[in-house]
Amino acid sequence: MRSQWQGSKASGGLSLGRARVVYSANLEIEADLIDDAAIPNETKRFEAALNTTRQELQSLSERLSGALARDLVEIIEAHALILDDPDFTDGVVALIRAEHLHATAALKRQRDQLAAAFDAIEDPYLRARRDDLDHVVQRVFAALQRGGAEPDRRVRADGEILVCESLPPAELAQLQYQGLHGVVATASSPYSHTAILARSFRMPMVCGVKGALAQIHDGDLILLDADHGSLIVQPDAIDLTRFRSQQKEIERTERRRSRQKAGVAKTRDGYVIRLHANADDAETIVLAARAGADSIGLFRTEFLFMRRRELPSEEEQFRVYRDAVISMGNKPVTLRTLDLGADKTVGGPLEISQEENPALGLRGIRLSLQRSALFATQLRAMLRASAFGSVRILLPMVSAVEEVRAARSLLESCMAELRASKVPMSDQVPLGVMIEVPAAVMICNELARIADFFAIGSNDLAQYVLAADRNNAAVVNHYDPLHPAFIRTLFLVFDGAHRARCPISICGEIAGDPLYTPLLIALGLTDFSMHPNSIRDVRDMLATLNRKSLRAKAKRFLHAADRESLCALMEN
Amino acid sequence: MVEQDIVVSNKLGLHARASAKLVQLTSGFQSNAFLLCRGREINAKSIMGLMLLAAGKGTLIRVRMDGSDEAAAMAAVIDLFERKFDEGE
Repeated sequence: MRSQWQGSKASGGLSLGRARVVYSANLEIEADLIDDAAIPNETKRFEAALNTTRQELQSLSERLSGALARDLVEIIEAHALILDDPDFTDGVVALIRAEHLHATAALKRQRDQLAAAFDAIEDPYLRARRDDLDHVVQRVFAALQRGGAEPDRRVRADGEILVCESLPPAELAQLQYQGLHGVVATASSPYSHTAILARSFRMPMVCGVKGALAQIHDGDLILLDADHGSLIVQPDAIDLTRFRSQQKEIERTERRRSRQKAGVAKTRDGYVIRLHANADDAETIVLAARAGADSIGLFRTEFLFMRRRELPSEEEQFRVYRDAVISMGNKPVTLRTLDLGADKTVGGPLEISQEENPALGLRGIRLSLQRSALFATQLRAMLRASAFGSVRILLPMVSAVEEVRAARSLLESCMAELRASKVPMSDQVPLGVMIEVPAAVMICNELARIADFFAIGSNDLAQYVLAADRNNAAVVNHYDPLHPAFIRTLFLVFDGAHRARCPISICGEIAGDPLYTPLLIALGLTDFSMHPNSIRDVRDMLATLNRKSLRAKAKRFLHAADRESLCALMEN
Repeated sequence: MVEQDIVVSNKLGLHARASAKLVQLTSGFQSNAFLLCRGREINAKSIMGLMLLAAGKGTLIRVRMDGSDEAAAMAAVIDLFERKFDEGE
């Protein structure tokens, strides 16, 4: 029978699919007891399931990329630690031995005991960590039930809409790969990690649909209208007709957009703007190529140095850079040298001592120049990749002319070395400077003379100019790019670069946020670098803007005294 | 054996990610590591133990280290608490 449900929008979109209802912790056990002879086998079976789960979590975290991935990876790491925790695993093994339970029954009992302990916790947030236990237990359970078989990688979720209480973000990532059509959550919030992830996947998701779990059954047809936070279960002919016409409309828009993709990004008055992509790994490069990026404006190399014990070799780095360059065809790839500091390297292979204030510490080019062997290895790998396409090298965290000179002289000696050993590479490898420190802004005229290009790192620049950590919830209101000081800082750099005819791009959140596009166009920017998923939105925004009239307003942006007047300027 | 008291001061207390960081840290030392809180004593190398300790913000905890590198282990753990588990809040 047709029924209609209302929740709130977690991630927009329209989709149709069969319900897959997932109850939390629905664990089917083998209830009979085993005999003594079967005990070793049963403990082995449990160990094997733990191993399988470890590998699953490992491959899950390897497939994640981008800014959000860092949070997700931390959660996945916590889950992996549960698998290694004797308080958890020894208890299961003891139950198998002493009580002659099957591994599933032992796991279920151990989980119930721990869950009861969690339920007794008063603090609601800490009590909710029971979810983490359940996420892990469910994975181990599934591995036990498969009995050593390969995890089902077929598109089991294909065309389905998941109906659940809530969903761990990592799980959503996996289901997305399997072709899930949407999510209906009875709990959860639009601010959950899962919702944020759903938006980045453009997967429709509605949350807070109370009571849905009891009323929706496996296989029910669901029409999900996430834009309005609503869904229809067992839609009738009228609903489906409406859905199809809405869908056709969306397809038409998509087609129009994909035709634009082939063309260049232009403002309404026909001014060409170049949209580049930021990338972290091979996967984002593929996205970038697909989104029609003009180049890779920023390739972050930190991932090569994190979560591992030894430093990446020149050969390993070379292969990664080369593959990126090959994937982009004849379009340039801007490789940024290592941008790590004490906040990201504790426990890693770099052995940086802990610092009181890592944001103002040994990081970026400062670190690279101090570890010249490490730096030279990276530069050589980058130079070698230049034989396969167009490579540019970008230096992070520059605050003085001397740093660029030192880096250039090291780069030149690396080139001479490679040339002497007849290693193929390009003669033209531009060396650029990230402008992300106020000191670099103040000397941008001098930097422009010795740098081949600039890239503004707007996230760090805003943080340093406004003296506010953007990850610190307590000062989140102070970290606001719509601050006159920050707008004027940007202008100083644009102006300095234009005078020196030094190419300049901006890579940071504001480059990929259509909200800021009018402002950046007004200030004279023509090169934007952003996450590949944002390219379409910024291109659409550009098509609505008149560059000439925005440029005429540049002065008013510069003289705006506060956030309110900046907002007013952006709106009209 | 060394002992030191510390108050949990990060916003969310010993939640999953904070507990994970603590386990990763203590597991790197040879010393046995324990947290004592509300009359309970748990192994600080066990993430389940840490999460079940339910130490929210403001909880007083006694850290106990026992082993050849106990001083270094203690310093590292106290530092992690003082850095509020690098949560930046």
